[in-house]
Amino acid sequence: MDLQWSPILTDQLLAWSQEILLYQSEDCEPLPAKLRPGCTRVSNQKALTVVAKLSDYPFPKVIDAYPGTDGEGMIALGLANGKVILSTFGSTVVSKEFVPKHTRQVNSLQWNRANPNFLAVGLDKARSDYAVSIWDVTLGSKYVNGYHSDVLRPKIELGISETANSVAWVQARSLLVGMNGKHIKLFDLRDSQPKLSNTATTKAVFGICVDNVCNHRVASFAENQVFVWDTRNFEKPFLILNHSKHVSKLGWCPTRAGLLACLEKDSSSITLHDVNHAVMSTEEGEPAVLERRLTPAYPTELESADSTTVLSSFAWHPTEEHLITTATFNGVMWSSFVYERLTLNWSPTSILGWSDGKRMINFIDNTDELYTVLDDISVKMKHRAKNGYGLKAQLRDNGTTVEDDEDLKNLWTWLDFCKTLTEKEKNRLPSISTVTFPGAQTVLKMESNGSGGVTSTLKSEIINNSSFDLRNSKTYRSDERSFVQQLCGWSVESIHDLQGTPTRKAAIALFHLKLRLAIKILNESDNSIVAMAIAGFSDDQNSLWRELALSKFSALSDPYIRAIFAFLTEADSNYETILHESELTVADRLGFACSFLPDAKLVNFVQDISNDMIKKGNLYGILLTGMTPQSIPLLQRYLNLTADVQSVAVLAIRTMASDIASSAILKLDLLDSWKLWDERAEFDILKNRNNPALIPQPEVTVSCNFCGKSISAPGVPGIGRSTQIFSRFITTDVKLKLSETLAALLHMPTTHGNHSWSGTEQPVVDMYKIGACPEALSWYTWCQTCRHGGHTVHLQQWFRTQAECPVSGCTCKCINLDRVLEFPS
Amino acid sequence: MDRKQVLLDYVASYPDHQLSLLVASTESGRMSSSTAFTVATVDTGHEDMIHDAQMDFLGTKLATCSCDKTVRVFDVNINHGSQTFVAELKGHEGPVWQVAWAHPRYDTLLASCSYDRKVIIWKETTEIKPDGKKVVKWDASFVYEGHDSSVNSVCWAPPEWGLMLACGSSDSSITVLSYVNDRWVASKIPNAHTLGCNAVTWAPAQAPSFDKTNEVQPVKRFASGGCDNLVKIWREENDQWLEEVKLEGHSDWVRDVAWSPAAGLTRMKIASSSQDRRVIIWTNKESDGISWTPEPLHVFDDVVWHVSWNFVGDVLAVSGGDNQVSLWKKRETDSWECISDSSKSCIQNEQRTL
Repeated sequence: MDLQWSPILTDQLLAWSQEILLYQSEDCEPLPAKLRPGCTRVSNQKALTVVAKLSDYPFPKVIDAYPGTDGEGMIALGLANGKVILSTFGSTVVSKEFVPKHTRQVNSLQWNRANPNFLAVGLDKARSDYAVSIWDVTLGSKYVNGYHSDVLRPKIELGISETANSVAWVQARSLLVGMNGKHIKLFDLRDSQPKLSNTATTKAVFGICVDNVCNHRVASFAENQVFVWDTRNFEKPFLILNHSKHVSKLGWCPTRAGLLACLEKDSSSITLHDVNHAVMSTEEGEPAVLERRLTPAYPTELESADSTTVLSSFAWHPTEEHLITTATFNGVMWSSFVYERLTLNWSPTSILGWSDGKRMINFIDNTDELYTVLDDISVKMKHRAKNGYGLKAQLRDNGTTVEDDEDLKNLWTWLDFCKTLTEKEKNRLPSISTVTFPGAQTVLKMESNGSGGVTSTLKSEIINNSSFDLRNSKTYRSDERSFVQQLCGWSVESIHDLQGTPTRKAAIALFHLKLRLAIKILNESDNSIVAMAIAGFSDDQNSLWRELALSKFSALSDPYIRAIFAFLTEADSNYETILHESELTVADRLGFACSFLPDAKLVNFVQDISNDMIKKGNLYGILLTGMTPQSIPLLQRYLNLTADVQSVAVLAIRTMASDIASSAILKLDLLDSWKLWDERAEFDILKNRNNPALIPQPEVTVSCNFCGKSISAPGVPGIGRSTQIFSRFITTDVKLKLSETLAALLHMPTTHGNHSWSGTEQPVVDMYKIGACPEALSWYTWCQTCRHGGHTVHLQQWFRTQAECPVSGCTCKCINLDRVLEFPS
Repeated sequence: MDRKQVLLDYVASYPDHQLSLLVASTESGRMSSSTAFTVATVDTGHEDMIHDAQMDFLGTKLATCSCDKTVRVFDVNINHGSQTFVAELKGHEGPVWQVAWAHPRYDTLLASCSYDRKVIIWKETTEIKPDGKKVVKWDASFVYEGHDSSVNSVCWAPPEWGLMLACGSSDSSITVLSYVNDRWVASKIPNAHTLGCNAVTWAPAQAPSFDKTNEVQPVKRFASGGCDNLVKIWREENDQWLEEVKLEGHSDWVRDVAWSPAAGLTRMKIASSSQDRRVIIWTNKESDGISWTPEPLHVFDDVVWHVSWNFVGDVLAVSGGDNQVSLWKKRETDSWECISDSSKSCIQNEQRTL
């Protein structure tokens, strides 16, 4: 089965084997929808229906559809007996026949696309007859029905007693002929006498085809080799492409230069050669030919063909980009797309762009749902940055900008809490006196002993409790321990105020050895069964209660209830079950350890759990490390896992010394890229706050000349100008000083809506109110004409009584020029 | 700029990964379980195949280059869905393969490389006409003609290194152009990749380390991929570019390499894509720049053209010969997972309207 897309009616496909069928291509329901009978699916969205049939000429050798616009659906058929028939699919078969003198097979025929009157026919050898005949189909009577007039003579004949293996037109007036299995000849037909203009000696005389996009590029084949020629340099092939099997058909992509499709015999796929980039410098190295294979991707619903079905032919679509239709021997057709190199870029602003066909580019920007699916941290970061993440004065408030991340939110809340608590307690506890955000490690005076272990000088007193008859009622107490417990959010006084589930409260109450309170809490919640069970507590080693509790508690789902039972049934005071209960929060486990573990064990426990937290990059580990150098490996790990450079940077800037925080520069670049300049500036200020050396000295200062205060660099004294310059000012109550400062010479943004906020203290003058924005009074403003200016409030005062610019020698009537600055008095 | 809704249909198309999303239809509402995302389309007006499209650092400018020998510059406001054509840059005599924006701290510079063996650095200048109108002009500020064959890839170094541009060519060499004392100086690496270099990508300037205890001195590095099936990493030492390491893993031409951005994870990572239909993620666990561990991402059905990281380097976009864009994210389980495939049906939709 062979096929061809109609060059004119581009939604029509010709396919022929025993009979010739004309198909109409139309849109259809995408898979897996079933199509109506008579429809053949050729792709996900296209289907073919037979619109006409021609069965008068079984098994034509070659067919070419008429490329002119006038002959509706006309085709030329070359038959095995040498006849060439023009036919249409109409109801009355209108045909014309071109008959050679000697009967032999038509090897090849092609319409001239530039001048569709001409049809070139290549024939087998016949003694004393020509191998190539070119017909002008307009000659002779057009409608000859049943009668073949032998008056019809070919317009041009070429190659007497030769074989034409294949013919192909090159533009309007040149013809390439593969001859005798030996040569490819290029004939120039411009003159009445055809001229042989070029010959190449080659065995590759079959399937000559011309790249329509790039006319001097020609391909042909013989056996398992494909030759690519440049007609401008015809002596030797430009490229030889070797195939493993014999080649049966070639075809240049009509919509793109240099893409050659090539079908091998007994092959289920088409090989595509991209020869575009193989042009220059072929002397050294192999020419760069990109080879790809195209296997039709038949849907699984299609039972008659799969990816191993051998193909019989293919056809490029003349206009639709990269569409190629393949056919198998049993008539299964399928359309595939040969896609181009798809460019792809992800911009720093999180816009993903890729090319779509020849001239379109698709973008998905960072506001899209896709980024939620991706869980893209950079988009989250941008959102948080816009909400002022990290810039809130109260540490706790930063948590509100990360509502979507419970861990981070809790961390900020805890940091705030930790700071307040430390502030309060630091005079009592020497271990935290120099640290703002201590973790358990610091509080418990843990220090690395150099060999991987830790030592601590912690000394705690042992308390033997007798509140109820628990055997292992030994607890430990020290100021450090209770401070850590406070950091964990434990508080003996107000167990009812604790957060979390009633079972947590009950467990903590119990860990404070308040069994009755624990039972009460459980009883008040819907855990009265548990309460009852606990109430029956017996510390007798052999009691039934203990036996049952031990065998059953591990199956309970609530970790706190498990912890309660584990605690009550604990035999050897190691409390391993509770300390390693991963469903309990780190804080609760640490709080527990602080009560029940002796010093050495406590230190080891804290060390173990810290290492574990660091390994997991778990932010709750900050409770153990504090915001101290010990937390750096943890934050690094967190960063590795989450890529949340923002949180890490913000945490570092807000809680650590500036040298550590300097890596936060990365995050600042992010802000730049998002054009969040204000946030960036504020971070710079925060970052350098502890290190005056890093604050750049101002090169240019802008100062208000009324009060002399610098407005560009807070803390830097204004330019001390001599008052003599302003001799024209005689006002005594305000020392008016105004002149051109350096910056005033620059083009600066307009005053309206773009004031530079100086950050100086609120002005004392309140009699001139500008709308609802008293802050504007201390903003800097200047005249757009003479570019002199000062603090708004001072200028107001001046222009209340004066019309001219306050600068000596300047006669600008600023206030009249700038109506916006006309303040209500 | 048109916008269209494209539906993502959850299809387990890669059995070795947990989840993959496939664009199934451009008609909205057909599948209620799908996630819709919005694709904005820019008509570049190019007359032939677009080879590259790059947004600048601030996301306000778009440069495209094409087989039609031109580079086109657009002002883009992606949020408002508008784009304005600014300039068509003519100067190349062959298909333009790639464009690259310099960091905005160095004016507005755009580098382009072409089949015509040239690298052109274009500069935007704004002229204020007497009537106060601003006229944006683009001029070639430097043309580098030191390559003997098609220049396939250009990439600007991190801005910390100054103005520095790496160019990979089919003549098997790589050139590093740097702007020193008001002129461009070329430093050539001959025979970088036998048969040609297809892609270059720079390592971020700052090793993204938060932990100052094992901080390493910043090193200028870039990676390249070529027709010798290799990815190579180059390091500057005494003004010379040395081959630091050679990464063997692909069995066909390496088409693209992408160094993961610094903003996120600390480990150095490089993604490479190849005609052997594979994408490999190379990870440098020790941060020494020498010992790289390959991890195959996936074997695709066709050649893999391009790879690109998102800004924090945790999602990788991959474009393949099957015209699919797929997104891959490393989950905490340390295996790569396909998040979504896209674009196939967009293209088909486009073609249907032809």
